[in-house]
Amino acid sequence: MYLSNKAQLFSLDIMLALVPLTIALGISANAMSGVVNQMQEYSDAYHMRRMAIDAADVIVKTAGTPEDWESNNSPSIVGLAVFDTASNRTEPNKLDINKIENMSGAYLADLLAGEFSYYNLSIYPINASADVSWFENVSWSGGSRADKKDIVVVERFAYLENGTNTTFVGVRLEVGR
Amino acid sequence: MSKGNGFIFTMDAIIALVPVFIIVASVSTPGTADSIALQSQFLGDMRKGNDILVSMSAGDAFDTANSSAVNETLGSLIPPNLGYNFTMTYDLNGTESLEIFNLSRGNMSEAESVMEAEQVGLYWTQEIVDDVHMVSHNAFNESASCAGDAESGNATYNMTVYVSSADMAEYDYYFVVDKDDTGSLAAWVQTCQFPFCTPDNDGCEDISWSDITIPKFDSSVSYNMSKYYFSKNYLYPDSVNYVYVKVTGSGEYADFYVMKALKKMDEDFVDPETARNPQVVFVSLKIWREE
Repeated sequence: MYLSNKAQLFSLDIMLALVPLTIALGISANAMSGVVNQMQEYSDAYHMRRMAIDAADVIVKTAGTPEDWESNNSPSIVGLAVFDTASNRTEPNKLDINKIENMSGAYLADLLAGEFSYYNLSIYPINASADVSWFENVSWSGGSRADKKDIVVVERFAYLENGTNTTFVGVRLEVGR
Repeated sequence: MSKGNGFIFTMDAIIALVPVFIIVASVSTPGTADSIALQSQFLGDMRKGNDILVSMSAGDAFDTANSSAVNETLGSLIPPNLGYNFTMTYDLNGTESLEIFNLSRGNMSEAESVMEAEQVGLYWTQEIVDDVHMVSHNAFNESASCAGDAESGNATYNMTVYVSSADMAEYDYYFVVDKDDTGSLAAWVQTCQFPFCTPDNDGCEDISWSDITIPKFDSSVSYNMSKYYFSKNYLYPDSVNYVYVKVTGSGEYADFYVMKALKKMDEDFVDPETARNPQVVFVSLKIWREE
């Protein structure tokens, strides 16, 4: 068989070899594109979760601004924790029953800064064995949950007392968009 | 010399595929979604653990020696699908520690990962129930002896101690004498159910001064503190106990305490100085999901 001495860079063989290489690169590019989209979704979900967690932190661990907003003011930032005026300090994860009674959905919407088209905050007693008839579930919400693609739920725990009545409560914040 | 065959399956092509597979493998990143979900779940459990410790602390749920009460609170706060291990330890002297609580649910060895929340808190491992200070033997001998009280109907120097059955199950009670300086001093103690005692000890059951004599102090010993453990026979549960003190000596002064300390605590660590304030304890809550 005759053998040519010319280079074979553009031969049929290399063209055939490029076929699987091109397929592999195509798959890689597609996968890369998918990863970018995936990372975008993760980033959005993370951002949403982060906001919900931070909002729940503010509600459970701070007394709000001003600290005595429940008595005579609308809060610029709402928080439900007890503020001990004697020691001048907030008691994190210890909720003030007066603040709960004065809480409203509008305050919650302000705290969430319009980031979510749906939100729901509920507080419910946990102690199954204790008598918690003095405190019933309370909730504040805005928007409709039905058509939301992404929903994030954050659940926290706190302590609540009203005179001699005490209970542990769950604080559940649900947001969606 | 070439054989004229195609070379699509040659060693060249196989080697060329190596970087291709590396590229494909690196960009496809299998398991990313799972790892992010796991991370999110882990962080969620961590917040849950911290919340539980802070909430329990805010609700004074640790201010009890009753382990079943703490366990019940933990059981109601931690969802049933999670296992937990709750410990509270007190550093006795830098080298020894006292484990106040060690409560568990589930089997930690079957957990894929364990989340731990920690907190430093305050707890009464020992406490002064009542005390009298700087009492000289002269004052006691003159006005607080049992015979003297019988005439007046009241005791001048006594300590009032309410002992509940629940506390009695968790704590030991001690009578502690802390003498201020060297010298010879002896003290006696008597418990009664009534705010007075009588010469024949009516109302004081079978206890008499001599029944529970505190070891006599001696200048030759290097310490000035003596402790007497109140056995159940000498304290009346769910009742106020009046603890009378009488001392004899050579004009010395002393402080007297009725103290309670966790039953787990060795008597050597019972100390009024430590018991003046709540003690710093280390609290740990481990949470896990079992496979």
